[in-house]
Amino acid sequence: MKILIVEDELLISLTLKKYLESKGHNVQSTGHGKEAIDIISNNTFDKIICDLMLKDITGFEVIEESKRFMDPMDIKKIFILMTAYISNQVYEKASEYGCPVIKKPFQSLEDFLPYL
Amino acid sequence: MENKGHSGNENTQKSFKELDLSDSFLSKILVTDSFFRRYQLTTHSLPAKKSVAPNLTTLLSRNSDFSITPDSLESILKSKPFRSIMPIKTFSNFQIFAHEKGNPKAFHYFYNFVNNEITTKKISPGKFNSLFKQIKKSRSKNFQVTNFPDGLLDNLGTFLAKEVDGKISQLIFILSRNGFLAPGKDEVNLFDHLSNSISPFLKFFFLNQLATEEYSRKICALTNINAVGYSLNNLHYAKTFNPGLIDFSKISPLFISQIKGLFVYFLNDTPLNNISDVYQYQRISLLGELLNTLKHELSNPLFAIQLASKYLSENKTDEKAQFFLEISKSAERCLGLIDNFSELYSPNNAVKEVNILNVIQEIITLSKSETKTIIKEVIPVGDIDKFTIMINPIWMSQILFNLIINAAHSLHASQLHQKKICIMISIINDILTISVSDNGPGIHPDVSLHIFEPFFTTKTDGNGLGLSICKGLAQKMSGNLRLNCSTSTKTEFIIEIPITPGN
Repeated sequence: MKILIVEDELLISLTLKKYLESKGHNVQSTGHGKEAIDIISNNTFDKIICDLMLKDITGFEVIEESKRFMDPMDIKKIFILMTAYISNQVYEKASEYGCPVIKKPFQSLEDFLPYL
Repeated sequence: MENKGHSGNENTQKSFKELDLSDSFLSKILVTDSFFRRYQLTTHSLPAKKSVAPNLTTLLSRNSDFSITPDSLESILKSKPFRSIMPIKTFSNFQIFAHEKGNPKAFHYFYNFVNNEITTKKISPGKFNSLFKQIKKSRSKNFQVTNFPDGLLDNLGTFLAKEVDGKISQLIFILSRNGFLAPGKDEVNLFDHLSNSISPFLKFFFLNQLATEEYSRKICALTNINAVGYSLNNLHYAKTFNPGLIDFSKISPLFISQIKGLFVYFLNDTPLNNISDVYQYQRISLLGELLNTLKHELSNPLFAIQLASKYLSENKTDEKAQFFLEISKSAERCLGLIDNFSELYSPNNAVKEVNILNVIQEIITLSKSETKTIIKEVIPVGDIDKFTIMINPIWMSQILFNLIINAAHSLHASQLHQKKICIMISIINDILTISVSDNGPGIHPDVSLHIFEPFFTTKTDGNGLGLSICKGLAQKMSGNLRLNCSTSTKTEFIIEIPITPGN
């Protein structure tokens, strides 16, 4: 499975990348939202794990921009959102896209497996 | 309750005795006239009528020079002595922006020299702050009105401005001639002098206002008339320390009967205490914000450390795995602490089944670096099997950690050869008692009185919050944290928490 990780906390990104690679996935990562959009525009991914609070833009903006390159119907199948700031608004907005949201800190890396 | 050693006049002493000091409010507001002396005001007492309103006091004192009411700043500015120091010939207006810290409104007083009129308007603290900052930044204190937002300053061209940052209030003074001619050096000096001489007065004005608002609030609470809006306003007069200003015709009959003839005294410490309460409140709310920011900024990287080290520990078989596992555990504990800190004021109470001895052992390990060279003795009293209990382990750890670190600090400051911290644990009748004692120099009785007060500290680098938070945590667990005063040779803190035994 081809996976993109968009997460600005590099240590989280790296750990997740190594973990998913050990499960046999092909993983790419970036810490910047704009760079992520760039990558998404030139590649196709099976899954995109995206943090909501990036340094430059938000994860929702990444999704909005991604709509230009992918079938909007695929958004909910592809994106998995991650956030430390969980609130009702975040949940509501995420559910508009139909994406799963994983709260940080998560218990275990295995929490991601059901979504892949 | 003390009279600050002031002998006082007979009148004062007599009236004291007539006050009903059993009332908790009154007992707090014992009165001396040092408050007035401090601000060089004179006091005047009225004869007391015992029959009316035993619970109420009001401040009725006479100030011989001028009275200060919140409404009379204008008239004071316009009074002869003030007008005489205003440069009314060379300038056209003098403006004061005033903001009492914590007040949702700031005030703008515009004194027009030309027609000798003062107009007042309210502005938002946000506008005030941006103006304040802008003026503070400038070194020359010489400004062009075009550099400021429209409508905030009612003048044209150039002006002089100065900001004064007080504890209670922030002030901005502006002197303008409504023209484009830049002020000369002499004029700058004059302005400086003017601002300097007015600001102490204004500071007192705000101090007075703050203290008396609190006071009138209390009086209203006592008399159950808080619903009567104008009574509060009239109390503003009462607080001017001038009974002559109270217009009884405008006050409700109930209130009159309570206010008339009430003796009175003030209160050396109440006004000042109220002010420190305000500060404290501000400090604590600031601290809350700080903690929230810290939580958000620290949680993510800490989580990263925890996640990465845990992952590494699971994928290594050599001895390094052990290190990574410990790193991950420590990071997890930090996360828990941060989380806990921010939940300090929430009712959320995460109770777990833990063995209290393990918790203590963990804390001793955690505090290793601070307790080097100190002997640590853990003495469980009674049946060790019963030490598995239901408790909030993080809160418990936080209290113990604080007590141990405090003990270590005081031991390190002493010259003792054999430094020792002793932790005794017992559970009797479902009450967990943990005593943390050290054989250090002990705590001076003067200090022990204040030891649980927030921001009280004897350390040069302490924030004075540790024990106050610990006591709060113990109380949150329906228990208590106290200092055992019966021993003068050592320091002993005792935690008592009612618990449910674990399975």
